[in-house]
Amino acid sequence: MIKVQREAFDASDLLRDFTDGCCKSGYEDGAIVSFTGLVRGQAKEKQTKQKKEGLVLRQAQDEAGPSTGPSGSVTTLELDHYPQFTEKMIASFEQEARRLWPVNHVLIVHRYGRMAPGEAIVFVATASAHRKDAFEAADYLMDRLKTDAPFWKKEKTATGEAWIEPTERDYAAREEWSHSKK
Amino acid sequence: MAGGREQQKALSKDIASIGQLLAQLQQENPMLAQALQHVSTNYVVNQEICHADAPIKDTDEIAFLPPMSGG
Repeated sequence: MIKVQREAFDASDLLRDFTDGCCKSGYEDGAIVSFTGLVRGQAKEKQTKQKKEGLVLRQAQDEAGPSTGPSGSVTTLELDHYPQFTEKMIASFEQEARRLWPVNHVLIVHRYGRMAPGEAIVFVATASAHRKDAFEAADYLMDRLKTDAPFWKKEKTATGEAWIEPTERDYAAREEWSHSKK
Repeated sequence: MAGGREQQKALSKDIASIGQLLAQLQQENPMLAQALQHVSTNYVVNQEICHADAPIKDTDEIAFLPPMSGG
């Protein structure tokens, strides 16, 4: 099941309901894995855009250290999405996960809109007979969400704002699945 | 879309692909066309990911998506 929503959610409630749902449909599941992603309080990378000034590199940041270093506390994270298409793409990731692993139940909840640090942004749960399948399917789903889900994140700090793109590590994680699974 | 989320355009009959649409935009708004042709842009026609040579027609919904990042 997939939910793309603006509203905040409680990951504990989602996990409890997911677990109840798995048990109600019989006792075929021996493993449930869940992942909750939270909005981090520290900016992901240096800011390359400052408000009203277009492209301005933060010189002080460059001088201070590596370009990937943090650039202050995040005040809000804003997520844009593409209604219907976002749900459709996430549904294709679920379909692929079900093809690759014998998972019996999948739940993906993803928020859009404005969020504060500490708020849950994404929740993924998988259930299968054995733990390895549930772990791997959840990991795969998160890797696909990080690089291929139609969301666009803008991180705001006291000094400006920046669009956040997947890192090389995110893309590498996704690529690994294409080598390890057919 | 750069400078706005959406634009409605009437498609002339000689434009039959995303590539040709980008060529027209190049005349009208070179900066926008350049941004839309970035190597990481995904082309989406009626909510299906496509290549630049994918056919398009009037009334189609065409989206140019910058790098996506959820989670």
